[in-house]
Amino acid sequence: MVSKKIVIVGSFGVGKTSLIRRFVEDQFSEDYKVTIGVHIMKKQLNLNDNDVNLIIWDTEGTDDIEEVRPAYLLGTHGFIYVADISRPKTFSKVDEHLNFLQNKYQKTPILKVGNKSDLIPKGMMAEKKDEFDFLDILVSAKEGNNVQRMFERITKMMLT
Amino acid sequence: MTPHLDINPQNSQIIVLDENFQVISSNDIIFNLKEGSSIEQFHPFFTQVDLYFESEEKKLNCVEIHDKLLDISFSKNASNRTIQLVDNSVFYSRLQEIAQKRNESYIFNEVLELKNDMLEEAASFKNKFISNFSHEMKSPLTLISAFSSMLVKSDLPLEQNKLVEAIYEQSENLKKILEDIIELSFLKRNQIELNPETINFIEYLENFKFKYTTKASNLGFSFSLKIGSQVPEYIEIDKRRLDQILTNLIENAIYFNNGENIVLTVKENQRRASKASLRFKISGEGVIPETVASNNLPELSSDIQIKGLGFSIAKELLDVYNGSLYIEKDESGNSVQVANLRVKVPLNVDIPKAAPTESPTKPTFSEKAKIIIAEDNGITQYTAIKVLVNEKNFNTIVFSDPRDLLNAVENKDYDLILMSSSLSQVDAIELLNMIKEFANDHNKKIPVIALTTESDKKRISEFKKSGFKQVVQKPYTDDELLESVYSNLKIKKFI
Ligand SMILES: Nc1nc2c(ncn2[C@@H]2O[C@H](COP(=O)(O)OP(=O)(O)O)[C@@H](O)[C@H]2O)c(=O)[nH]1
Ligand SMILES: [Mg+2]
Repeated sequence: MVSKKIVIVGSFGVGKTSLIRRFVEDQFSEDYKVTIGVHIMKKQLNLNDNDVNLIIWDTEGTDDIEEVRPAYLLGTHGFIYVADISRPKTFSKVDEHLNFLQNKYQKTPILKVGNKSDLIPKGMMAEKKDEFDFLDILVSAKEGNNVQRMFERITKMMLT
Repeated sequence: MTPHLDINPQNSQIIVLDENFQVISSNDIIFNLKEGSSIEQFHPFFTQVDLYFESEEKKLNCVEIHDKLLDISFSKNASNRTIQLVDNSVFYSRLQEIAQKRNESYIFNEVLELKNDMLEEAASFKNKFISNFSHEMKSPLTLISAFSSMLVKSDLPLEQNKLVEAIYEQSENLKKILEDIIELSFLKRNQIELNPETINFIEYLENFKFKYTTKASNLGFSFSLKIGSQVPEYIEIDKRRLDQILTNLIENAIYFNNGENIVLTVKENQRRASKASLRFKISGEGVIPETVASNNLPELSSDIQIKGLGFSIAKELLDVYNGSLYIEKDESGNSVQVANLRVKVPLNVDIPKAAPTESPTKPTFSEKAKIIIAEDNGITQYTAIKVLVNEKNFNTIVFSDPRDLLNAVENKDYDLILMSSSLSQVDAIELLNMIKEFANDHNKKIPVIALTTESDKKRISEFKKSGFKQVVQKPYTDDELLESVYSNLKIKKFI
């Protein structure tokens, strides 16, 4: 079975750990426990009748992407860049960060996601989608919306 | 041969692997690894373990494996590959605690900032909205007020006269509310300027008493004033602002009063050098609802606490003076409004005598005064014309286009101009400058009065500086307009 390494990056508190937890264990907690270093989890995903072994690296989350230790990123097949749509500071540097990753890890696909979509009032979804059109997908670790789809998307990107 | 590694036997595990990454040997200090088992199966971290032996990145810090936080190093020689695990869980847990505190406070501050921004935005929107809305209401209200005031003075049957009187009274009430709203939203949006002057404070308070004794007796209750013995005779204060504070608090007390008597008590809390702290207590028999005390601006969405506006205005003003305002309860449960205010007490007092003001007269003119109304708002035009025509002393002509106005003042003589704050987008000040330039010699000297909804003090003083004889603020009553016209005309010419 083919294995793919995904590294989840983004500022602290955006919900990286929560998204992985939702995907791998289908659980969520309101409590915030800061991740330090890396934490690696595994989950199989079936995509178009192919089983893929996803090795998901949860990183600590710094404001500055260059601070992510290069040793962690060795052999990465795909990045998920997470922002918190309720905290502008977490997506203020998207362009800069993506440039950095794209330069350093050419050909490695990056999926840009906005987490905590559950915080958008129900009637404002369409409007907010426009506001966040620089992101590929809006997800919610809390309610589970689009989390499976997010991992399917990045897997598809890594396989082609 | 074993590769060279720092080995601390207490927390370090050495794992030797073959070329298929199967365990040859391990000292099992941290984890139990079976000989011959695949390291890749042990934990997903080791999935692409081959890369680390080939790459320059030979060390990874702080990797969580089975609840331990490890530093992991890789090395290889011709036959063997070796991994060293160092358990630094204790150290990293301390780092984690520090990071936890730091991140939580970062996020907390971020959220706080965001909330603040949102609140500020909402408040500024609200203030702007209220201010615009109130300005819009001024012109129609001026018409209602002026016309009903005129009607009351005409010969109507008693029944109708009473009805019109009621309309007049209510429109006056509405005007007061509107002014309060505008004042409050102004205070909320702007830094206000204070113009302190030395006043005879005791005399001032006695005047205040006189004003409210009269008003109270009309309303069927009494008003009394108690002045503490220490209260300074002279103080330095912005009189207009002090008026506003006291008037608002007393009006508030009157509104919520169920009893016979309202008392204003003025005391000196303390005095240091030339600073005195004064306490004003306004008590009556009535309870002021808590919503009034907490209300900042009328909540347009819910129950409108319009009558509490005075309290909010007073509070906002006292803030400017670093004073305080609160409501306390007396023994019988009635509300007492307490304001504390610090003022300067001048050491040497030298007060100029105020010149007595003459009240304007309304004679019958031998010749009608020619008055220009420069105004493009239909309602205001109509109001002004009606008020003036009713007097029979005036000929009025209306211009709503600045070019027509300039043409007229160049070619014909007039006696006075009433001008709105802008005419077809041309600002009144600019227009006045053009009149001074283009008008004939006679018209260059005639008084120009501004009629405006502006209540910004700066703007009004700009009007005056640029040559307007007077600024009449909308909404005005017919009497106010007439008074201003009569007092500015060169009356001698017409008698
Ligand atoms: N409302 C909401 N809160 C979330 C969501 N995902 C994570 N959180 C909360 O955000 C905080 C940080 O989450 P965490 O996963 O630790 O963020 P990380 O630092 O990026 O790993 C936690 O308190 C989570 O409960 C979400 O989708 N919606
Ligand atoms: Mg985390």
